[in-house]
Amino acid sequence: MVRNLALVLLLSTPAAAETYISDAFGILPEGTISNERAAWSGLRDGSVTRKVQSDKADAVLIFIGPKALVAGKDKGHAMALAFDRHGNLVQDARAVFSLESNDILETNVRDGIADVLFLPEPKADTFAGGASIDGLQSPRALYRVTADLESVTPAFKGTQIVKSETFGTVESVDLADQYGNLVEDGVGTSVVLSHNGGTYTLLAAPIRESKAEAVILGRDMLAGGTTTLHIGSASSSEAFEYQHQVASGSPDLKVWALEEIGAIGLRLGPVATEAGHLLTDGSPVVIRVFGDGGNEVQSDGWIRDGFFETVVRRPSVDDKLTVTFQTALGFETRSIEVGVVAPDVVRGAE
Amino acid sequence: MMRVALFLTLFLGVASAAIWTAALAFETAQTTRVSYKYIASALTASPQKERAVVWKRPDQELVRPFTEADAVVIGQALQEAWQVHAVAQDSGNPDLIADRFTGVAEERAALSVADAKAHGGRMVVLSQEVTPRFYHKDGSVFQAKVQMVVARFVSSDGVGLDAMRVTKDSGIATLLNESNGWRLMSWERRESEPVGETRSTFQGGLYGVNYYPSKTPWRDFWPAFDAKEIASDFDQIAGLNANSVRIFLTRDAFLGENANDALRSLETLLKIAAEKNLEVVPTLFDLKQDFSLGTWADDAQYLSKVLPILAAAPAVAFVDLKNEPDLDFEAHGIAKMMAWLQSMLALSRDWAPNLSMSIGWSSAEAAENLVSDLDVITYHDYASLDDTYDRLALLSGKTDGKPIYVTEIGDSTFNLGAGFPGSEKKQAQRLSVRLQALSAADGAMVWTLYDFPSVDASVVGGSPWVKRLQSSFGILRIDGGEKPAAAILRAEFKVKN
Repeated sequence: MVRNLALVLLLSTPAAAETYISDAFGILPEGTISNERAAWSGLRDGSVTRKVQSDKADAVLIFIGPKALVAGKDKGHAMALAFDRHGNLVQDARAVFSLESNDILETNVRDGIADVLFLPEPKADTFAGGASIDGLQSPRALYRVTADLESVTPAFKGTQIVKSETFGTVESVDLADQYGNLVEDGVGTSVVLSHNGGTYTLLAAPIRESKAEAVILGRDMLAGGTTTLHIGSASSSEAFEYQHQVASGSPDLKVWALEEIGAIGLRLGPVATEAGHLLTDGSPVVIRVFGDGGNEVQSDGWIRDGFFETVVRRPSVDDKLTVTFQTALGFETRSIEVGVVAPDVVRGAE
Repeated sequence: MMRVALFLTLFLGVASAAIWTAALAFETAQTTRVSYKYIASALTASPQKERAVVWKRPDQELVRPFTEADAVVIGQALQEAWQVHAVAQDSGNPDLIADRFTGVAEERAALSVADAKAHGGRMVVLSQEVTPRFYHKDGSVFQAKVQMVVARFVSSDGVGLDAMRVTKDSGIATLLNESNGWRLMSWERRESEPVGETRSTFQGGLYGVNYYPSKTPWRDFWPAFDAKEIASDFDQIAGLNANSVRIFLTRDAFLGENANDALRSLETLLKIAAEKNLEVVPTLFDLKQDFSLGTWADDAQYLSKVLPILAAAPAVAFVDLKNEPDLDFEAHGIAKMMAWLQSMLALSRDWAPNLSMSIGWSSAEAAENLVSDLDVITYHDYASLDDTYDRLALLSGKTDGKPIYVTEIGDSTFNLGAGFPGSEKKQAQRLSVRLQALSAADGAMVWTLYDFPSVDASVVGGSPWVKRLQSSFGILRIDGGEKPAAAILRAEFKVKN
């Protein structure tokens, strides 16, 4: 039986330990150890116990981080990791760190590692750094210094003006920290419009070319209010004006009969400001048509290409109807004859 | 009359043969064979991932704070690195190395795998104690002083051990935090000293039984632990004039999420034993089935949990490291099994130097192994009754005067008919003869206190025949009634005490 044979073989103690070498990664017969393995530093036990020492640096790695350091606040950590030509951690050496944001720094190497903490000059930029050990240079590593957002004082560029039915920009002055570092593109800020009517509008205003900018369409606002810029925990407020635009006169209104379906068509426009600009597409319109006996119909929609057109049930058979319409430029009431023929061009949307 | 007797005998013989054949066929039908495509799939999963790395306070201030989360993640990386290394050396396949090693350490680990494949060397890290000494501010590089207990062994033929060393190594480990986790970049050993060279002694007569409650043997024992039942059963044992009990600490019960419950139960059991004036022989690592190198660190964890409790208990006589490990030689390889035994012995010596150690060999012949490493020699004797005395005498001449205990003897009372294959009467007779023949031993323990209504097939196999046999070795029946062998024990043990 295998068991009995094994028992006989196992009666004696193992062969003398001197014939085997143990090292950090295992054990093997002494005569078989390769030159490469024999050069691994550390303790090696065999017929002779040896502590193999490392050589001079043959490879230097550099690690600098964190990668984004806040100006004047965050210290960076530069570390060099050095190996000799056999891959052993370098001992007993001196490391010299060259960092573009600082003066030269020196320190000792211990178990392959040399490291320094450094406070970079408070100038927002991208810097390079490296280390030298035993005259051997590491590759470059990059790191950034960023603006100290907590020290940025938000401010608007004067009173902000928002015109009705017009895209406008709410913008700040150039934003910089206490060291004069401009805030980087993409930093998130927010703008809150507090309307005089008690409502609020919240806008995202990411930094672009050092300014916080938010685009807003003046619509559904009754009056102005206050606009506030928030950067982190800091904020600043400025008044904002809401300017209603004035119509360039009374827009044309046409009404025609659609006998087959008992309805009427209405077309309003062109609706334009006194500056001659058509109202923007999407601007809301509400039309009401009144007939005899208190009958009334209403149609809501919006401007397209300066016009609004709709079809509603005819409220009465009278040839003359009273029509009211509300646009961003104002409110009117008209008494109008119902035409027989539709106008040539159909525009607008319901 | 003669014809009737002849006919009955013939009938019983044919019936037994038919049942035996059917049982063999049934067992064969239940045997399955599994092959694995990936090494990792072939590894036995730990019941729960054990944290085998112990963290010490940093010996200098770190630039980056070292948190509990870091301890878990980096500890796991260190643990898995050495498990992967051991598996790779054992399989000769370095492909796993890149999972947990990088840079210089990856090259060295790969070379060590090639050397292991060529020369039969193996290295297993059993435990690690880590002291952080450098942590980069951005969390990219970590370095620590590591003290690890390591088993190294060489077997050029898989049978004999050409070299065996268990040492406490200390050195410097450097890890990089790469895109998919921490990896070991450098490991340099600086110091090393042997482990486990202390010895302890135990003397005294031990006469007792092997114990499981009737309804909860083997794997069910610790999850269903009932202190009242234990106390009552220990009273029964003491009532047989026994002074000792052998118990089994299932490996899986003391690892994983229920380990603390099992440890508390163990403490309770040892207290009850002391109250009943019973000495205890705890048998460790019971039902451990996988001896691959990747499991050894978990085994060290198991020892770190149970040994303090055993060392603190006055009731413990000596520790039986493993039940019948020689029976695992064929399946797992003799060299690997012997290396495992010596590694666990070394750890036990280091962590519990006052505990006397033994191994529960399955036969007197097997007990000739590792004599110089043990404090107490134990074996089991189910072999031929006639040679019981001779086997003991032969072994006694080879054990350097160390005490010898025969910790399992016994017979099944399973009776198919006409006293075949066993009976209560036969059991009593054979027990008496065996105990007489072993009177020169320092002690003897009977398998087992109770019969079992149901037997774990994963322990004894699926054969209905074997299960019936194994269910009936008790001195007491399932209902607690005494078989004739109880009286034999009572009388024999009274003389000894």
